[in-house]
Amino acid sequence: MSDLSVSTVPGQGAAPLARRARPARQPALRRARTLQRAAFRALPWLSPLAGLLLWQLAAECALVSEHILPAPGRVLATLGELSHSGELWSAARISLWRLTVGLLIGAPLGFLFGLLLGASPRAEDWLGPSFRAIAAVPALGWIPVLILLVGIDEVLKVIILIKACFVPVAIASRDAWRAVPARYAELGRVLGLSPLRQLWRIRLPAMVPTLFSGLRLASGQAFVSLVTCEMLAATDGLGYLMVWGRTLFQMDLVIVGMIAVGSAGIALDRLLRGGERALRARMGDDG
Amino acid sequence: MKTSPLLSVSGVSKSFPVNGVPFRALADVGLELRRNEIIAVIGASGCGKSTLLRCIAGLETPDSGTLAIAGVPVTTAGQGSAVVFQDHRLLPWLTVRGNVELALEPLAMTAAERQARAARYIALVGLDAFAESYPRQLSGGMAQRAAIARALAVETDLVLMDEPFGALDSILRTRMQEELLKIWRAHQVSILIVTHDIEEALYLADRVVVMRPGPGHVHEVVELALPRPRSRDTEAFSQLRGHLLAALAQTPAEVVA
Ligand SMILES: Nc1ncnc2c1ncn2[C@@H]1O[C@H](COP(=O)(O)OP(=O)(O)O)[C@@H](O)[C@H]1O
Ligand SMILES: [Mg+2]
Repeated sequence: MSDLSVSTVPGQGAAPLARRARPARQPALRRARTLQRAAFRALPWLSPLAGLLLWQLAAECALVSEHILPAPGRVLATLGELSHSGELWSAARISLWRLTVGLLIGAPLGFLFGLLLGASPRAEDWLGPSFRAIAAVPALGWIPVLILLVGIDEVLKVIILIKACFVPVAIASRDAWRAVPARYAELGRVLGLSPLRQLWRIRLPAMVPTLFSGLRLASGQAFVSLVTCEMLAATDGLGYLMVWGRTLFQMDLVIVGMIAVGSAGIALDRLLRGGERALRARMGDDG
Repeated sequence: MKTSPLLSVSGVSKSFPVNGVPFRALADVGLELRRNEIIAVIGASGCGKSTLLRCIAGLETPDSGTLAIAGVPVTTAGQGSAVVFQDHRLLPWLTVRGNVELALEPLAMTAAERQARAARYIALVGLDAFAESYPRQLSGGMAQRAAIARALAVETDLVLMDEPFGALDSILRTRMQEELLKIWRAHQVSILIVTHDIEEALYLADRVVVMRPGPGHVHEVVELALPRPRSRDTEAFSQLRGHLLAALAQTPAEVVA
C-alpha cells in the first residue's frame, strides 16, 4: 500500500521534462539571459551611483559651499580617519548596545503583554485603550517629560528604546495570537492536550512567523528612535556624532554619521531577515 | 448477545446564533454505535452531519440531549474518541512522526514508547519512508493517511471521521476505503464516518444513518446485510444504492416544513 501515492501525483512527471529542455536552448539566448540577470542585479545600485555622481559634480563645480556639502572624497577621508581612530566604532558600539538592551527588555515584555491582550478579551477591554494611547505618542514625544523625570542619563535612552520595542512587539504578538487558525486550536483540544501544551506545542509555533516580522519591525523602529534620541539628548553614539559634526560645521562628519546609521540599519534588517527565513524554513513554512 | 453500545446519542439538539436569531442545526438526534461497528452518516450538505460529529467529539456542547462513550458522558474534547477531519490538519512545522507523537503526549508513556507506537502506526498506513517528511512534502492521500495514523495511534475505541476522503480523487478514495477496512479488521475499532458519498457508505458501513435537514434529524437507519468483502456491482448493492438515494431525496412537503 505504500506505492499508492507515487502514481497519483500528476504534476510530478512534467517538471523534470521542462528542466531537461533548458540546456537545449540557443547559446546566444542564454547569454542574453545572463546579461539580463546581471542587469537586474545592478539595478538597485543605479540610483545611489547616480546620486554619488551628482554629488561629485556639485562639489567640483562648486555649486554648493564646501562647508555645506563636502566632496565625496573628503567624506571618504573622514570616514577612514574616524574608523582608524576608533571613534566611529565606539559610537556604533554604544548605539548598538543601547539597541540591544532595549530589545532584550522591551521585546519580551511586549510579547507577554501582547499575549495577554490576544488571549483575554477582558484584558483587551481594560488595557487596550490605554495601550493604544501610549503607542500613539511617538517614542520621541516622551523625551521632554522623561528628561525631567530621569535626567539625560543612560536610563532615558533605555526607557525610550524599551518603549520603542515594546509597542510593535506587543501589537505583533496580539495579532499573531488572534491569527492562529481556529483549525489548529481545535486540533489541540481534540488531541486532549493540556492548556500549557496547546500553548507550547501549537499556538506558539503557529505564531512564530508573525512574531518574527513584528520583531523586525520593532528593531527598525527602535533604531530610528535611538538615533533621533541620541541627536536630541546624548553625549555619545552615532546620533550624537552627527549633531556634533553639525555644531562644529563639519558636514563631512554628519555625512559619515548618516552612512554609518544607514549601513547599521541595513545590516540589522538583513540579520533579522536571515533569521526569519531560517526559522520559517525550520517550521516547514514555504511562504 | 446484548451488549451496551459504545456510543449512545439521544435527544441531541443544537442551535447556532445566526445574525442574532437561533438557527436550528440539529433537532432531537439519536443513534447508537455498537462495538467494532462502522456507521456511515450520510445526508445533504448542511443537514448537520459535521455538527453531530463535533458534538460527539466534544467540540460543541449540545443545547439538550445526552452523549456518552462507553457509558461516560462527553464533557470535553479529546476524551474517548479520536477525530479525522476533512482537511488532514497536520501541523506544518512538525514531521509526520512529530505529528503522530504529539497526539500521544497526553498519554502516560515514556518517550521511547511514544516513538515506538508512532512508528508502528506510521508503518500501518504505509508511510514508513516518509516519517521524517513535512506535510508540505506529502501528496493529499499521504497527508490524509498520516492524519489517520495520528487518530489510530491514540488507540481509542471510537474513531470519528468527517468526510476523510472527500478531498481525494475517486481512484485514491477507493483504495483508502480498502485500507481503512483492513485497519478496522486488524484493530477492532468502532468508526463513525460522515460522508456525502453513498457508495462510500455502502462499501464501508454496517449501518447507514440517513440525515435530513430543516432542522437536521435522523430520517432512517439502514442495516446493510452485505457480506464482506463487498463488490460494488452486485444486485444487492445497487438496490441499496437506490434505496438510499430515495431516502436522501426530500419531498416538497418537507422542504416547506
Ligand atoms: N458555528 C456555526 N455557526 C453558525 N452556523 C453553523 C455553525 N456550524 C454549523 N452551522 C450551520 O449548521 C448547519 C449544519 O452544518 P454542518 O453540520 O456543517 O452540515 P454538514 O456537515 O451536514 O454539511 C449549516 O446550515 C451550517 O451553516
Ligand atoms: Mg460537514
